[in-house]
Amino acid sequence: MILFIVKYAIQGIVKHKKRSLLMAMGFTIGISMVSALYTWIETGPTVFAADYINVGGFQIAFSKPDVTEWSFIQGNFSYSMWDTYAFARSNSLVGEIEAVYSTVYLFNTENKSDSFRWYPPQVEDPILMGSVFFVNDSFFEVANEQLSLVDGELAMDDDGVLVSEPLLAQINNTLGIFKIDSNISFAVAERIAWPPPPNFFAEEMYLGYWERVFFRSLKIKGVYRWIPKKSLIDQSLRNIGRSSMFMPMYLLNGTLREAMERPIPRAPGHPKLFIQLDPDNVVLRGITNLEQEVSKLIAEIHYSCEGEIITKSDVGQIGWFIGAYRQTRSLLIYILPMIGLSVCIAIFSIEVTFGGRQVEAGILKAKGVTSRQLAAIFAIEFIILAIVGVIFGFFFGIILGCLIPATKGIFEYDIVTFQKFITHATVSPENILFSIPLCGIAPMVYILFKARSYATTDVMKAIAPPSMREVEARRSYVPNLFFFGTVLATLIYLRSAINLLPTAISLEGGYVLFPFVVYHWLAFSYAAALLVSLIMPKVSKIFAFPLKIKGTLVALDLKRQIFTPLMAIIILTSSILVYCIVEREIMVETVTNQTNYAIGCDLRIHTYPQPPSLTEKMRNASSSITDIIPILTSRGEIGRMNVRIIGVDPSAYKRIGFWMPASTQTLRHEQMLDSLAETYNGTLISDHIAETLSLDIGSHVKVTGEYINGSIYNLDFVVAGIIYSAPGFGEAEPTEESRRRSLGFQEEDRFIIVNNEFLASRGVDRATLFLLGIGDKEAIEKTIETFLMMPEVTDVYSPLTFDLSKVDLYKFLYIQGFTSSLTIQFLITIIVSAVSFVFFLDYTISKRNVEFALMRAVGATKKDIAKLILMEFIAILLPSVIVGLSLGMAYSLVLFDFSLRIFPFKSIVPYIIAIPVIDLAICFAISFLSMALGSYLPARRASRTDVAKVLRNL
Amino acid sequence: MSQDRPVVLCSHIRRSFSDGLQVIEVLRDVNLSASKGEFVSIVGPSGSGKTTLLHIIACLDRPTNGEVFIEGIPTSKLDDDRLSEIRRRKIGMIFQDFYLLPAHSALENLEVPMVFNNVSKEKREQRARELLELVGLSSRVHHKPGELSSGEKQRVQIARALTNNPSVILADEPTGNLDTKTGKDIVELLKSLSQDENRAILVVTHDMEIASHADRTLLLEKGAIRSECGGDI
Repeated sequence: MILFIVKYAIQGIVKHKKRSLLMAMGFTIGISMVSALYTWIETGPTVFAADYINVGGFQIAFSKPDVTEWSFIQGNFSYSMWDTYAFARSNSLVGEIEAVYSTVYLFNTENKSDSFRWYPPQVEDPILMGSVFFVNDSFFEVANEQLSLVDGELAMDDDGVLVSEPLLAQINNTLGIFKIDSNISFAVAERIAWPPPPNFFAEEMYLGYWERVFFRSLKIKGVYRWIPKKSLIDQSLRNIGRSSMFMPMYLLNGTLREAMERPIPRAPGHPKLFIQLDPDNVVLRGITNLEQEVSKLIAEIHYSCEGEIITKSDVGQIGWFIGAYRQTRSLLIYILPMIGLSVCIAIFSIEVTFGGRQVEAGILKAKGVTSRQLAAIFAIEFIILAIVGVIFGFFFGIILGCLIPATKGIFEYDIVTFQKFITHATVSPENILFSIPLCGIAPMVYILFKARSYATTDVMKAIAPPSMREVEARRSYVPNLFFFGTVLATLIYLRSAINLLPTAISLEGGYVLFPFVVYHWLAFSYAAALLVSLIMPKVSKIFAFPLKIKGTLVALDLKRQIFTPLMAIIILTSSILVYCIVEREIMVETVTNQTNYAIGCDLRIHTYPQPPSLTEKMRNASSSITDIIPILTSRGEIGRMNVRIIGVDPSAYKRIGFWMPASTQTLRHEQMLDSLAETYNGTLISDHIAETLSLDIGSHVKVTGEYINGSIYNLDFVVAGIIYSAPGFGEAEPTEESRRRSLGFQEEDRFIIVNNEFLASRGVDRATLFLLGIGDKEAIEKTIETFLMMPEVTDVYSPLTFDLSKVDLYKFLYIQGFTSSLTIQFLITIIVSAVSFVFFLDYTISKRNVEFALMRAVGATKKDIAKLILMEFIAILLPSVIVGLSLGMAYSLVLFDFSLRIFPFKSIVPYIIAIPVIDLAICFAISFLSMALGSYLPARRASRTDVAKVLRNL
Repeated sequence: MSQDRPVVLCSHIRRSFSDGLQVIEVLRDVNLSASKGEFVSIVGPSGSGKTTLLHIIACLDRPTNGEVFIEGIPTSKLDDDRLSEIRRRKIGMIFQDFYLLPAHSALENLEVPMVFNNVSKEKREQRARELLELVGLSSRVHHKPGELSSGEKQRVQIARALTNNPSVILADEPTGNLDTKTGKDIVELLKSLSQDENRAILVVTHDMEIASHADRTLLLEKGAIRSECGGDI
């Protein structure tokens, strides 16, 4: 019996080819769109990394001694960019991390400038982070003692070296000669306490410190595997001490032999350089021939390590690429309408199948097939089709996913990029786990529901004359879309609620609401189709008149509402087409604007002192600047915790909106800034500081800082708010809670934000100026040159060097992601709509064979029939496309507002509502003409109905 | 019974179908005629070719050989548009399965043939109402087929067949789906149409009760007319 059921189901699939194909297509397109996005996201980093990473592994070079004058690094580096281990740890590409015994790091204190200060290692200075090998128990209390150690014992001997105690133990040496190999030897000048004392800081920080230290001698192998943090810590603890040796000042990379043999040129006259290693993002100071110098420096910066050319920039890029790619999963919301369409098509095709095979079900039942067997036959048939659709969906998804980065335009594709992606194509478990439920559950539930309906088929009704059956079948259309829509929306909602609820709450419900918008889209499409069905009989003569065809009959037929599913498909597809066009245009314009603005915001200027007129003077100095926000900065300590003090004008500060994590885009920060404005000596602290120091809102915080002239100040602040990151700085040292809430977007830093008026009143007047409104990098360069001429300006820089590239990276990825996915979606929608349109049309006509035969019998010519059908379709097509365009336009704007929430830039500049009228007109014309043309074949077929055959057989 | 020129004249009609392997002769040299006001029934067992003959007369099918004249017009060589016109103007069809448009009212169903005949809206409605009254359905004007009984549906069909004032009405088993009494009523109606409105009525049936009401009855067997008798059989 089972064999019979399966065999019958397969026969059913083969017999009803068109319906089978359409149903499978319904599954395929939904799965393929989700799969495409995931494939792109998963494959992108691998492809990117493949350009740099060889299977043999590599060492990472992250410094170049002859171009960096450390004394002019202002401590604004985020150490994550230096911390290869941190990168490795957070990088899913990195599977193994191995300590390399031969790697040592050399410092040279000889060139230490006067302004060089030793900070505790957790402070921003990248040189010191992970390199405090010379600490002892009293280091933080007696910093000068350390300086004298470096200046003293070590400096006295040219071949001196400070060695950590574990390393010293390992090499079984004392304060004697430290021999690296047969040719290189050093005198061990001093041993260094190791590990740092347990009470160094809070335990968490200590471990963090420990990890960062360890990383310095890691070798990353290209085995792509995720290693949990805990195991890495354990591993690092096991390996710690194997490579702890340094000489002060210059940080080198490579073997000791290489380091020794390499000449270390001094930068002539100690030029004040600040260098970003990304050739596209170089900001220099004091160099007149920018281009030449940059080329030279870039050429030198590339390090050759074990045969691979890797730069710090590359390493960072890999990390950022991975992060950025992962973050672009949020682009999934762009394809939700397409998923809706796929589910819609799958369900309609199931509905059509059911409607078309009632007689068959009735006959089978009349022959004695039980209800259960009947349900099994159709369920198996549908399930086989669903499985086929899913398999093809993944297959096409992989291809489409590889097309996303290769898509340059609707008809322009980069084959090389496509090949590169297809070579590394990956289907992640997340893809499978997410796409199948999203696209498959609603149709599958519907399949089972319908299979059950088959089982309860009323035999007499099923084998009744066609006119009666038709009435019954038609009735069942109406509630179905709402049924599937509800199931779909519920599924999406559950998914959102479970995984994104914390974020959604912080986004004021943005994510959670989005699926409902899509659901409304579907429901509204269907409602609009119903409405058009009701209205069209009244207005169809408008179309009939100019065409001089049988308008009355059109009106009569439209009353039957058999076109409603077809109209729903047309409305849905045309609205998706519009959405693709409008959303693409708006997002490109807005994101470009936002990112350009962000680049401008990321340029900062240090001045000292800050005369009141300077801000205005600067504002007039460059036409690229729309505003300048002064920030007072200082360093200080809360207890033993070193912090950055950021003095802001709370109202102006709201306007600074360059790079910042998406998780912080809430009103709360603005509200906190309002609180800060109300509290003269208020401060906003990060949640990490609050947790570490057990502070809460209203607590008093004593901050000790140092003026530029070296004198100490003490300030009392009241905690006005606790924030997860600093708007404008986009950084915070996150707790686990804030990491979770921010989906891991957070950077690491410690800061307090205070009222700058209060800070200024206490004499802190070192200013950082944020420039707003600079649109591009060329403008930045010009602005830099302009400001460098001003005597008050001490530094012009972009403090987070990676941010510029990061902004560009995100801009690139997001724009690429949504333009490509929308372009592909646009094309697929056209294909899908054409196929489904012709199919449903064909189906509608096949259901009306008797009608057409009857009309022919009472005297209608073939032309009459063809005209009638064309007229009917034009009558449903025109209003449907118009409704679809309107709906698409409306939802584009609604979804745009939602979709901006996924983009990691705060919307500080107005959205650009770009409506590409010409594109829309072309879209409208293409939609209308293609569908009108699509109706030709079914109309022709109908007109050729063999009257005698139809009337006789039925 | 009128003795005018035959409205329908079939001359040596042959119709064969081929499935590629064999040729099946469905009609073999059929000759028949029907004049205005004449009620002719064609009886015969299943598969004898009754419906095929009716379809050929109705210009829905073409004979392999022979000629069909409708009001003296030879139809076998006419193009499709011309055939449609003849169907539209000269022939009314009644089917066993009613074949009414299910979503349309009785009135609208009657309008359909007139639409193709370019009758104005007002005239269509007027004519449809008259015909519905003629068949006794004036109270069912706006009812849809699903809301009508089988007999009423068949009456609507008959009214529809009359819309363009055809000279011949062809009925294929018009009482096949009706009970005896209703069937009898329908036959009476057809009979009155032939007598009162002077139309030629050709009824294909295997119901001898209907045949007994015909002016002439033709027995079709194996594609050929075996006998012809007038009046009751």
